[in-house]
Amino acid sequence: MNFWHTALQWFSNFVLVYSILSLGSYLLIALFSIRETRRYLRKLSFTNYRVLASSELAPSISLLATAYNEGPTILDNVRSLLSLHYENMELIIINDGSKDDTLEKLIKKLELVPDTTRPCEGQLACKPIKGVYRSTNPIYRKVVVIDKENGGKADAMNAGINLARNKYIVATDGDCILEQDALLKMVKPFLQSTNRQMIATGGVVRIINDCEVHNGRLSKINMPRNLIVRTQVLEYIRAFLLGRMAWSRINGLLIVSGAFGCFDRDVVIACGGYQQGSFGEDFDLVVSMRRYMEENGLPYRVQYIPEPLCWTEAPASFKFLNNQRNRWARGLIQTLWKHRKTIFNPSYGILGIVSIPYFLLFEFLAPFIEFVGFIIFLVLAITGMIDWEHFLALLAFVLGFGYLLSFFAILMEVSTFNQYRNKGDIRKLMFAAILEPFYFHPFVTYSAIRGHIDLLLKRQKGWGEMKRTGFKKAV
Amino acid sequence: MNEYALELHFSENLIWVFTAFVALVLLVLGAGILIMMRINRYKEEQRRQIRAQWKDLLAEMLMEENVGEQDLRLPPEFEAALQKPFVRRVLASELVRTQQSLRGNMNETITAVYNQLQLADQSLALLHSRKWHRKAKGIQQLSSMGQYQVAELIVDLTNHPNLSVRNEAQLGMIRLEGPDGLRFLNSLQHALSEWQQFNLLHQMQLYTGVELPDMDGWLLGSQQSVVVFAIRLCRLFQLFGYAGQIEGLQRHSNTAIRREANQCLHHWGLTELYTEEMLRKAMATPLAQPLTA
Repeated sequence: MNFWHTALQWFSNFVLVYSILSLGSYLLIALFSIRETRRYLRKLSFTNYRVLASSELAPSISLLATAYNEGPTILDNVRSLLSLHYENMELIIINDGSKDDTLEKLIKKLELVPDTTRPCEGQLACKPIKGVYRSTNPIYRKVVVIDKENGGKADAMNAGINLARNKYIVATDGDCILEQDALLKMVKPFLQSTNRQMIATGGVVRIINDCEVHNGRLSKINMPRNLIVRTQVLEYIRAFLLGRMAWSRINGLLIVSGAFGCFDRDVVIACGGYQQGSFGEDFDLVVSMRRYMEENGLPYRVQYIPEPLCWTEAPASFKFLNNQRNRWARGLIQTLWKHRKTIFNPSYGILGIVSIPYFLLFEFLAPFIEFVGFIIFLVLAITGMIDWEHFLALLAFVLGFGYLLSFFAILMEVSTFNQYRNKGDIRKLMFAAILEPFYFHPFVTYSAIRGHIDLLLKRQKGWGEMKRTGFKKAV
Repeated sequence: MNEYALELHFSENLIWVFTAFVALVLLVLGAGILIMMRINRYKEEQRRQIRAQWKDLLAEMLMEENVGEQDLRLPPEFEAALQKPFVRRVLASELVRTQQSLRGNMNETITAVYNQLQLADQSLALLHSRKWHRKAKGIQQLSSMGQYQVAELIVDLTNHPNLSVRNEAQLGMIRLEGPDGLRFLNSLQHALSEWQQFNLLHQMQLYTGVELPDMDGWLLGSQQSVVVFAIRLCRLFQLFGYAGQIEGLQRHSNTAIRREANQCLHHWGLTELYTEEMLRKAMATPLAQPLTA
């Protein structure tokens, strides 16, 4: 009995220290973020991005979008990407061995012909390229289509990077809707940096479910009706508005979303491009790029843009949410394992001392600690060893702190970008915040643990499908 | 065991104190969200009204084409609203925005509106503010509205320690003086970022056909970002007369300058595009010898 009592006390002390560190880091990150976001907003007001984006002097960029079996939506997606305000852009669509009529539709609509001027080989390994096409119609002069054997998203992106002609590459998903001036905003930090090389920039990704889209552009922002999706809206606001800005401030940002990120092509190639077979290829790419810069002693930055620039569809059912979170968890552990050399390694600077250890302790370990804590709680409750008053006090505190972060994120959203302006939207979001700890958080914790177990047991899970409901078309 | 119970009781009380504090902060946050929503809605409505009135006024002015300062008649409710600082701030920003998207005579009309409404006083107050974002806003408004009398104040700010202030000041000098405004390059202390060069060149595009100041000082100067910018200016304005100097810059010790010089000459069809390695080798060759592939 004595042993168990001591063990329990040690575990309690560990959880207490862990919680204080965790809560403290959340607070610190949130406070950092406010200052940075305010600074960004003030700077934003001086520049007319629309005018500058249409300038022929704007830097050339290659916008890469992958497509796999997207026949029904591919033309809408291309139209949407082509409607972006940016003069010097090549849009590279990579057809990753689609089994449907994706390529046929592109060839017919865009009037494509084989382009022999681009070499099909490059420095990054990828599955064989069957053909490269360009349009004969001047309207589609910016479009290049690559047809290749199926190899997954990372493989397709590598093929696109090989064929891209510009220094700056922007990676996006074909089904994302980008804000009109998003490209210039993403490239700006690359041009602004004078003493350190900018290697990657990422923007805020928001959820598009139930929003209205007209001619490939977002025409009305609505709060999703589905509670699961609405909770993800809150989760995204919290992660993007409170988290990433602070990481960017200390130059410790590790994730640039795969849905929308801008990269220095030379550095991407130098570090080997996207990792094939990775379930978190976006996370892995940024860590690899940072590692390359650290190992070569090159001063660099990864910057985050706190503005909503990209809108994407979120899973609307527990089944697809589970697929997504399971994959994210597998991606996290894969990347941490691959880059384990950097953990607590001072020669990797912020990456080795702060960023990677943070992900290890608070992203990777958190679901396990929560799970173990829950099991211990169950055992103690069954054996009547719980001091319920003490438990209630702790529960109230932890719940209160969670709400505090969520409400703080909502306040930040309202006082900065204020995207949800329909009557009742913010109240719905606050309601979702109140419910979140009781159904959403336990579920995503469960999915993450399942993801780790799946990877450990080498279960073949693949990418994990997600059913897309498509955008609501504006009348 | 008593000691343990006492300890537990103490920690429990402490947790309740923390919880009460968190609950209090939560209440404040909740109230903050509701207040912020109301403020946003009020400001949004105000902005919408000002923009609508300004749009009507602009449409009227476009119909009459040459509206001078004396002819400008403001709707009485608009004039009354202009007493509020918030309305004046929004209108000043709106005028700048319209100015940026219009060209020709209309710009003079917008400037006339700005002058008649005496918005320059407000912009000057912003210029003298100690806060960087207000200072930069003031520069933007005054320079966009052609307030030439502040050029000397603005040129002093082209070396301001704050990036946004000095960027706006540099752009402001071109807005006010055209190519002559580039005189700030003579005393530039901070490097021009690629972004700022892009902005300046974009601004300079408005003056194609206008004679530029002598470029020799900038092309052969020691500030490397100024040399790159000067080469780009030569390229943009097709200043073939500087081809000799630019040819020499292909052997400059700075990589960016070498590359820019080579690209400019290639653009003019005077040379081929060299690789970085070839340019590096060329550094060792005497200036008189032409580069060979």
